Amino acid sequence: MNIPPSLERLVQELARLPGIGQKTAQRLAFSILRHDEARAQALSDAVLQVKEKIRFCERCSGFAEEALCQICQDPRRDERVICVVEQPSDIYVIERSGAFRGRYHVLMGVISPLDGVGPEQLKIRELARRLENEPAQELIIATNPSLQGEATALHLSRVLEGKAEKITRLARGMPVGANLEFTDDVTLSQAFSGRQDFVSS
Amino acid sequence: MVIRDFSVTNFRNYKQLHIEFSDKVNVFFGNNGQGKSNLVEGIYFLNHLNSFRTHRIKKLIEFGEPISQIKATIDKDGTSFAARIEISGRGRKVWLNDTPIRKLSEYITSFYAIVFNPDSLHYYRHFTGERRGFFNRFLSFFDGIYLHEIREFRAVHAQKNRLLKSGEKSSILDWNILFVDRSCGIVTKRREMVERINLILPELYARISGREAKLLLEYRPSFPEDSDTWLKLLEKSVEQEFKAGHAQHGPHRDDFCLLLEDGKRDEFFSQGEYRISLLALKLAINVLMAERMQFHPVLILDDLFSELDATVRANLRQYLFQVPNQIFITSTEPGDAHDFPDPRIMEIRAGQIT
Repeated sequence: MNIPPSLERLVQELARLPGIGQKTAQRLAFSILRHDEARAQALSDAVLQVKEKIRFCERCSGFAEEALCQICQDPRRDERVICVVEQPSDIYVIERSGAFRGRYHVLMGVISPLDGVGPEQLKIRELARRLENEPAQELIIATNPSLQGEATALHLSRVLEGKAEKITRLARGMPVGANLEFTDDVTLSQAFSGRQDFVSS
Repeated sequence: MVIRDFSVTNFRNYKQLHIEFSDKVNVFFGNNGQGKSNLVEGIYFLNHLNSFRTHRIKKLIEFGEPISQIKATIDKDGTSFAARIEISGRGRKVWLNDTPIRKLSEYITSFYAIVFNPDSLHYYRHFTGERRGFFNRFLSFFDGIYLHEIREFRAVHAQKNRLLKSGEKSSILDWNILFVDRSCGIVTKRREMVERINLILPELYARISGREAKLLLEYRPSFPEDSDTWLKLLEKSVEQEFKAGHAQHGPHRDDFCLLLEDGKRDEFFSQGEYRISLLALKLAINVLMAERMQFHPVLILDDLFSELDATVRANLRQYLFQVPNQIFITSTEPGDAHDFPDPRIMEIRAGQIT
């Protein structure tokens, strides 16, 4: 039995989303079909509005609904510490941890010659300018622990040297709650080379 | 490790074959062109998931068939593994104890075969890439991190080469720093390996060749081993590398060379000298695995005895009598192995055991 064309169209649109396969897309589409009209309308409004309202923060390039994002507007955030991330979505991952109370800067990618991305395509000039206007005590580079992330971190530490009092990079090592036995060789060897002195707090 | 039983389907000239092996010496004899080398190629493939004769694995599938299969029971460290490998036009698939293996690297760092074969000798002698590949394979098995380091290095290498081709200069220093960083572990491990081999090689060579001269392995890195010196060199040669469009120095250009104590390098070895030297080198690696890992790879001696002179042949036999490895020998003469204790001798004729 073929699916009616309008339903098929919804399935295909849903299947284009990351992490959604054909089966999940069908389940979602059937579920939407069971909703009353108002709920379907709400979903479609939400999709359209997010495209309409969300833009990039003028200061940090995070998601914003006004010129500045909520974090850049928040006076309680420590503006002397800036955390540099690859993508706007990375901000929310760090926010969830609650470990960071400073402000962010989004690069909008990483240096990767194979993908044709060089430093010029990233928001590095913007970051340099920002540091001149608002001097920072610490710049925390939180790019991914991939090769491209590392190349980007190296580049930043080089071109921004002296523009912040201190430039740091997130540590690598054992995940919390992990068991030594199940940790892969590479992570373990990095945890060994990045080991720290035992300091009682 | 020991291969207990072994079967192939549609592999080279074998339609269907099942053999139970002796855990000591197995001899395949028969005339040329009957499939002796094909059989040991299958045994090698079971260990390394590639061939010592060709890089195109499609060639291993019997002509006109879609899929070729290798199955075996392998004992290692007191555990028995049922291995199954499928070779098709789309590549290789592997199962261990009926569980599909997603990362083939996990499989190929579990088993090992050392092979002596005229083709692999030819490739080893004439292509530096073969030599690097040979030692990379050994180090990946020997050291849990090495394979990861090689892959990381290759990823940096690919990024750097693309950058050099694009002519875009703004991030070259960053990639050079990573390039140097990712080479350091590799070069250190290669050097350590060569040092360890050289503790074993001279004596082994003397024993097998019956000669006085000492044989040594020499590591020839293509760049300064001190990372600061090297980074400076790379910075100096940036223009040159951009002109060439690819990285001119690095672990991808390293070489390994055999030399005799009197200074004679392997490029001046006769064919016979080279054969014995490479034989000694591979047996030295076998000793290293036994000493350091308590592991005994399978030894494959494909058409080896016929090419050695009587003294070396006798010395080699003497030596092989006392190693614990499982051994596979191919020969046109069944007599080549008659004095091995309790060999399993099989005659191969047109892809069949008779």
